[in-house]
Amino acid sequence: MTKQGRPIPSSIPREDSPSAADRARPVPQRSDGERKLFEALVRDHSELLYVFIRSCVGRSSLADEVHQDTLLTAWRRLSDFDQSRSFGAWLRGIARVQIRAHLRLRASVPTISDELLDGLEARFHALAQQPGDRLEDKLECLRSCIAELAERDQRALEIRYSDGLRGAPLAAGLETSLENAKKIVQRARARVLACMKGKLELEGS
Amino acid sequence: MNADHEPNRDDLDGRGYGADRRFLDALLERHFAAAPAEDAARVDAVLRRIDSAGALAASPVPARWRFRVLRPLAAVAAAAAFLLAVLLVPAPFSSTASAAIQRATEAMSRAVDLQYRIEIDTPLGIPFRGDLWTRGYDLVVLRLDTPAGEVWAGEGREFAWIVPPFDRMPVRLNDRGSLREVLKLQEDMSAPLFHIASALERLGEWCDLRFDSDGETIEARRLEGAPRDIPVRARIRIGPQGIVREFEAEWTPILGPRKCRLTWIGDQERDDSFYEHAAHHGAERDVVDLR
Repeated sequence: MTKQGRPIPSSIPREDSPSAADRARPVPQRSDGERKLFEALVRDHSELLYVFIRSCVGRSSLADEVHQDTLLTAWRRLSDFDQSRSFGAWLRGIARVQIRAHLRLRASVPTISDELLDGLEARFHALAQQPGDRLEDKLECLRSCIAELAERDQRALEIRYSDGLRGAPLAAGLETSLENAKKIVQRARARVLACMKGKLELEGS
Repeated sequence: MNADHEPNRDDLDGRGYGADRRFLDALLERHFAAAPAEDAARVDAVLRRIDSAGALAASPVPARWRFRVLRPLAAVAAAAAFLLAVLLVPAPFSSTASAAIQRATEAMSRAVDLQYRIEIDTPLGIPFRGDLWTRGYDLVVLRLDTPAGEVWAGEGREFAWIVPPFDRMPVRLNDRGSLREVLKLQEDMSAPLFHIASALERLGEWCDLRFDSDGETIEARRLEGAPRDIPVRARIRIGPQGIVREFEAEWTPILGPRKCRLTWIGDQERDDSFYEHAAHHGAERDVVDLR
């Protein structure tokens, strides 16, 4: 697979465009063609965008809000989008501004550093370069990494992430001690991460 | 990589490992708990908003001409409506259910301590009763009477936490935002139990809202394609300052209907420490950090 250089979105809104101002702006009318193009692009990129936002903010209700505001802002600013660039990276750039704005509104939620956002952007950019249009296709690398794990490790990840179980319930599901269950999950996660870094050609793999 | 000594996520933010872990966690969550229909519904909701704004803006009559014809009528109507509003409607009243929910969301997101009586009816017929305290968007304390004893759980500035009823069981701490996981509740029970401001926001986004015949209670009905945590129906009564007085929500999971009812008790001020786990168990109790 050939990899392109990291695209630089042409007009990512910066900190001087807080989401409150964007929200107050009316939703503009556009032509049918623009509307259809926007929908097609959004349907292709929405899920990866959502996973990116989840990785930044964690909570699902906040992620939903940021995701929605990001897409509405993208629609409002569609004329700023340079079609020779990556639409997904442009959306993530807008999402970064929205994430900061939402976290500022909720003073009790820890903020997120630029360095961390850059780190996440680099990883999601590498994932976006994987073959396929939809996130489901791009996650083939993750599926193959999980398939390389021992059966018990796969089961541990499934219980942890499918059922959302941690601690004692996780240990009960794996029929082992609490400490051992924690180690199984940590090791499985470390192996998948190392495998993914290799597949995505991320630094430090 | 030595995973046995995996460092704390927040200590490592910005030094590579924080990004690695967040990246991997998000992908694994997506892989194991995929819900593509939810993503389609999220996109549909945004497109509906875009289309409805376009439909409102579009009109067969040029706006300038329309305005010229209607301006005298509109001026009279506006004056009459304003007079009626001043005479008949209390100042803070919101004219539409959506506006009332928006105003309540703003009121509930302020850093004011509010206490509610909470009643949960489960599909298996086991009722739970207790109290809920909230402050703004994120601080929550929940006390539930269970057959095993009193359970305290909450979300403070650092952790989501739970104090089990038995002293021999340790207090468990987890990442902020994971209260639902801490309580082992299903996705569909997350919204109105704990974070009332967030729940109202989501009802406003994903439900058809209208005033009941009493003109005070708002009825919310879930729109098609809404996420699982949105109740099938909800009834909300809002006080004059925008504070939610009663909030009743109902879901229909596989096992049958499940209800949650909140009834406002008061707004007694609480110390910040009230929202942390240490205020709800003895100093000798074991505490386990599961993050």
